[in-house]
Amino acid sequence: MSVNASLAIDVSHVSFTYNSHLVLEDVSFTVPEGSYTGIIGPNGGGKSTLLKIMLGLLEPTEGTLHIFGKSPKAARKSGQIGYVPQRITQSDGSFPSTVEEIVRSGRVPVVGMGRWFIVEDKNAVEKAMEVTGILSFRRRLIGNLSGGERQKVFIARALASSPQILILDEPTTGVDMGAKEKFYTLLKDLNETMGITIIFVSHDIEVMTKEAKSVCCLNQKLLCCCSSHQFLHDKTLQQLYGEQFSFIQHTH
Amino acid sequence: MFSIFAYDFMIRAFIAGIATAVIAPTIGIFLVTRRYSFMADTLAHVSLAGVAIGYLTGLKPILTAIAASTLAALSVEQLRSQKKVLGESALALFLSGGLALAAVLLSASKGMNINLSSILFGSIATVSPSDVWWILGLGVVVLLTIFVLFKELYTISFDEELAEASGLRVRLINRILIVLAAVTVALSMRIVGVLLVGALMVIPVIAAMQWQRGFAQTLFLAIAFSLFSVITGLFASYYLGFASGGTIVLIAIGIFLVSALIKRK
Repeated sequence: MSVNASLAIDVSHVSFTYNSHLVLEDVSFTVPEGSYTGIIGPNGGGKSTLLKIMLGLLEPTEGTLHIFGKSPKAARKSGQIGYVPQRITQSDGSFPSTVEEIVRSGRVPVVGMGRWFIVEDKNAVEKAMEVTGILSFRRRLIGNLSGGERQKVFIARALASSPQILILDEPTTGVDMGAKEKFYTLLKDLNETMGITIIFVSHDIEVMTKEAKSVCCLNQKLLCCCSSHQFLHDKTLQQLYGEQFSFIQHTH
Repeated sequence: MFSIFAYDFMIRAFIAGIATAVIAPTIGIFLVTRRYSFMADTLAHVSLAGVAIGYLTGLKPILTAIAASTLAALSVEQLRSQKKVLGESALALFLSGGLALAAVLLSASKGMNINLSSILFGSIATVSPSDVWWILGLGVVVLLTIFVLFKELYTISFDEELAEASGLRVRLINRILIVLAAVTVALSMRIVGVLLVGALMVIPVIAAMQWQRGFAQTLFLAIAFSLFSVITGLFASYYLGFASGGTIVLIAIGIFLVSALIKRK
């Protein structure tokens, strides 16, 4: 991690209580601009809640969270945050929409209410489709695409607002192995060539160690924020998943 | 050319019909894609209570219908957003409530010479000159609002949570849509009748969806199907004496069946 990099995300003493149940307890960490960070933890460990706070969909009960020095709501309104959800409710094939229409909808918050797309917006949409490699099927219906192709469309949609940070929630759930690999290659490219800060949530330990440059382990409290290799210690994993967890190394 | 246009009431029916044919699927596509098709029927039944209030109080029925359905639409949305009642149950509550209130009010207005059949199934002979102005005026307002908010409405219809995470004012836009739906239902009532308003908002849209096009093209196709159904239905109603609403909806269902069959091949 570069010490001099400005902060993409600054989480400071964030706690969140839901129905008197403590979901997050005094979580603090920072994500430098241009980094590639994974958040891992067991189910119910607070990953999704933290993500919702980052997106401004939930307010922390205590503490603050800033994205590029702004509140999450202000950052998302200015299009600085691109979000790729785990499950798109309408992606079951029945929604009548072309790939291009869906990507363009990612630009809507930047354009603003009552205004129409101008050349700059159209260029941003074209670029988002170009970098994700979906220009060839821009006119196809979303329902006729494979899981891997759809995920690319949702990345393009998130990129259409020209974000500085991309937040992804379990982005490859239900995507086959080959498509998964291509998907993470694309994310790596976006991070390295375009300098987009990437933060993703996953419960997949393999993906974490292989893809993320740094990993934050979350189980109500923040257990560590370290390099992806450091986190593979029995002690950290046991804190995350319980005492029974042990790490077996294979040599082939 | 056609003797049908020699009568003022038929010209009024055509103007109101064409306006209705354009507005109904334009709102309908946003209800259908959110799996909220039942909303139009609910609002129509509440509109019936509004019409009854209009007759009883001497106010213009089209306006009391708009007021009643708007109030119901906002209440349904409030219940839905508070998650106190599941979306569909909220609709059932208002549908039966509206119908029950209408039944009571209409029974109280016996002797007022209300043509219940024309309210329920639509009638081309009952479109008054002032109805035409209301339908045209409010129809333009509905279309303009949709035009201005089209990209936001599309984004929310695709995925509400994603739209919210993108920073859209989902609650506000949902409320605007629901009010527009309420107004559209009340305006469409004259031509297709209370019981069939929902059909004109939904069937042309699902017929258009069979053709597997993008969102904008599906909307244009739905408007075309709706226009064809209404215009043909009005001719059939005039020359064959059928109830306009029923004829229009049966033609729309015919288009749906043909579309589904062609696209199955």
